[in-house]
Amino acid sequence: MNDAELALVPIFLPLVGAAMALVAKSLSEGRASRILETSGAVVGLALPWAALAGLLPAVMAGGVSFTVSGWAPAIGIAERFDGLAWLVDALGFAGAGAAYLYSRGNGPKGPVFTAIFLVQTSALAATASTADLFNLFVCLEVLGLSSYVLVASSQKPGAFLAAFSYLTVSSAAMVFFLIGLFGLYRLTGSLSYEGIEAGLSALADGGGATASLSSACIVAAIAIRVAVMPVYGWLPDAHAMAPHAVSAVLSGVLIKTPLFALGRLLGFLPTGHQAMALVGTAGVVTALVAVIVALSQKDAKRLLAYHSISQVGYIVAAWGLGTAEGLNAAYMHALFHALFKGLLFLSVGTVTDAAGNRNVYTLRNATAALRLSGDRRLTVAAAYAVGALSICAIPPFNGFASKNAIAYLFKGGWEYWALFAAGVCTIASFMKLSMIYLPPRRPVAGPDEATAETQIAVAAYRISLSMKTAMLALALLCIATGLFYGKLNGFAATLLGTAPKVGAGTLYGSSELAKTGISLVLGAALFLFAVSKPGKAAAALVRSRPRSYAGLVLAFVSGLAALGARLVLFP
Amino acid sequence: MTGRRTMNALGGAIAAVLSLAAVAPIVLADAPWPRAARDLLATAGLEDTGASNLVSAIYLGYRAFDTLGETIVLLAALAGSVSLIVAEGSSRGAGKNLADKAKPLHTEIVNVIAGKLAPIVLLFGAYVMLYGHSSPGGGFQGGVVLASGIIFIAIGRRSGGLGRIDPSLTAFGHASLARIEAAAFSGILLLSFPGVGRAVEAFRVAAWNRGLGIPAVSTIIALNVAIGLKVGAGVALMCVLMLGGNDE
Amino acid sequence: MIARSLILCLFITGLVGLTTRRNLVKKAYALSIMNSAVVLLFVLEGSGIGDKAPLLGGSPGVFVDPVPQALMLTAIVVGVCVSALALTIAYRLHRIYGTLDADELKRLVGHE
Repeated sequence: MNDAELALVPIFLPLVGAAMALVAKSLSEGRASRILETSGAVVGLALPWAALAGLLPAVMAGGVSFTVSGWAPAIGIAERFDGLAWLVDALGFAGAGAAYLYSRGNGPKGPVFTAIFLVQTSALAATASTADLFNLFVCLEVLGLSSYVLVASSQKPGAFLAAFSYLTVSSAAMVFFLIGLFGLYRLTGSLSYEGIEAGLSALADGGGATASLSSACIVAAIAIRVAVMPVYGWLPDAHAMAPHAVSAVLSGVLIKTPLFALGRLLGFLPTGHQAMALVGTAGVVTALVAVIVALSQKDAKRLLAYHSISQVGYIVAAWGLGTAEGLNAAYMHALFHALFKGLLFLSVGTVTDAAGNRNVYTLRNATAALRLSGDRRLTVAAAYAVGALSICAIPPFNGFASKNAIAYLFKGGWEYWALFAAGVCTIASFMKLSMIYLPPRRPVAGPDEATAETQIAVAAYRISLSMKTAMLALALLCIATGLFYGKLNGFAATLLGTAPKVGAGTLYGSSELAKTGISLVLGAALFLFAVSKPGKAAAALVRSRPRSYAGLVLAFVSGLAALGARLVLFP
Repeated sequence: MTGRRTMNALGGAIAAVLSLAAVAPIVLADAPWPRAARDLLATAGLEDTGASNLVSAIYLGYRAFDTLGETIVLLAALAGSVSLIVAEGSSRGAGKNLADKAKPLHTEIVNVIAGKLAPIVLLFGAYVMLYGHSSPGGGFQGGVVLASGIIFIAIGRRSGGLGRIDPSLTAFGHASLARIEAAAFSGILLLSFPGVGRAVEAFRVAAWNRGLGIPAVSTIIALNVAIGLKVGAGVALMCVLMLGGNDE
Repeated sequence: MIARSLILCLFITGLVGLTTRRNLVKKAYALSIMNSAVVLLFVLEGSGIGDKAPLLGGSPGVFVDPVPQALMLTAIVVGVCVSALALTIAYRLHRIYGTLDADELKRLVGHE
């Protein structure tokens, strides 16, 4: 098997696993069916690591470019498996593996879930390495379709509505993607990125307004998947209502892979750099605005979902610089975010299930609920603590290194202070979320109904070993990646063809630590305001802002129009 | 109420204007349509893939990888829809209401015609599926026609049509449809992996040299058949479950 | 030019329908209309460079471009899948709440 075929193996193995799960479904239920389903999951989620290991030498040597099945580049599907594709694959398989392990304990279960989950993982790998515009469309549609189904698989009415909004808005965006593809194909007669680049540069005006607007359509359609301002509106409902394991993958992996795929494409488009810069600026704004909304939430998982948007804002901001260092910092934060946000979704989801309450303002004494559900050593609480400290950028957890590496890129600009403010809000928000572990408040007059409900919920809920294993593994990874940040960053930088500019020494310098201290103090002050009476009123005001379906479409078209105007008027 | 309606109309107008501004220049631009790909296919398409239908040559030959993705989209959508419908049934008395509501629509005429038409439709589906390489058609189209045939059988079966056999034995019961779908999907996977394609090609050339005339187009026909079975079984499965035919 | 303008109208009709209609089934159909408009656009424009179906061995003449047709085959299947899933979800919501009105559902579900 040559490198070109090996590069397709991480895409095909999860599909083989999905086929095994489907065969398991068609068998009558029983031992054989369960064994086949489990081995399908192993084939789809564990074996690709072997392929990735086998690909490492080729990737180190600069990556492989090929067309699938070796057809002529003019007509075949171009693929590019380089360091970025390798890293994004690793991110995807790590996040998906941990989430799948957790789902064995807490559901959703069944061969259909396994099959669709594996299909989604395969599409993640395919998105990471594609270098063909139409193939990118297909990959994004597979990603989308499988995630709509997975969101709906929680069988809650809210999840159905969230899946419907997500489905229609992002499918509408994909229609715009096709129009962009039409424009570029008409100008260049080519679908591969290289062919498009060559075709556009052969034109007198580089394609002019048509090429710019086509690019804008494609960028806007992908931005909706990444959930950058202003096209983030579908995410909170979908991520909050999905089953916890699915939320972990959606937030951890699914919103970043399209971003890196978009980066690959924009490198080939004449206006790509401007588009990247604009999306990057939107990312900074997203990081700050989304975290303020997160601070005002009362539903625990919705709070986490807004934090995902905010953290993706950091990633997009660094990515938007368009430099190898920016990409390196963006990737590191994407990887770390996949670990700690996956961990947070799993642990917070477990706690709220155990307590039968998702309201941050009323849920208290969560440790008792955990103990009653069979978690005597409070593994879940410890895992949550690791995740929260990571996202709040407290050393030595991994978020500290990756967030500071991003901030370092913006030193001296307004972006630096915006991201600093976002960090302060993150700390305040997680202090608020951590209140669920506080001892119960004095019982107000009358018997506490919530307690009775809690007892019922607890009686039915068990925290299984596979759930704890998944969380422990993620927690250990959060700590290990924080401690060995220097080595890991060096490895990623080599794969991305750059040298790490910021050593671990600089990151742990006194000024960075002082900054963390200041953020903590400010965060605590903000937290005290947020839980005070006026703070709660302000939070309710933010929560009650009008959010309609039409708003989702309008946000998309205005984002598209703004991007198009920017690219056409200031090329 | 009127306030909301005005807001709604305003939102629609803004969406229309903004998207028109972004999209109209792309759609209405007068660049000549590129000919390079067409000319390349006209000369090399048949030789490369063996398919005289150039659309098939592209979607099952040059861009078979995309078609695999398309099959997977279909798989995810069908499996998702089926699981949503089945979950609905299990949470609300096995979807019986739906079947009950459908009963009055059942007349002798429908039963007889559906039963008699089924074999013809199935035959036509098989034709469209098998001849996709040389005439308009192919796996997706043929598969949907096959599915219609199976649905006819399912409708006809209700009062003594064609397939009045024990559902667990019939080839068109939901259990065997699921099995066919899974098997056909495995087949598509196998046929689309590039390395496998080359192995098949080597095998074919060896067989050709020994005098067994396997034409180059065989891979495309095999893919068409696998896709046809997958699509047919999947769509039919979903419809049979929606008809409530699984508990008859 | 007229054909393309009409396709553009079709596309905008779908988009406006998606934005303003509150019925979930109508939204699903609006999406389908948008998709059809783009399919028409590709096939129509791709057929401008020839006058014969892309089948070898028939009457002499110049082929239309088969690439957009092959691409649209994929896009059609994807569109059908999206519609199927959207309608299934709408059906489930209707069975639970007895309404297809998006605003009403939003209120009933209690999304903030």
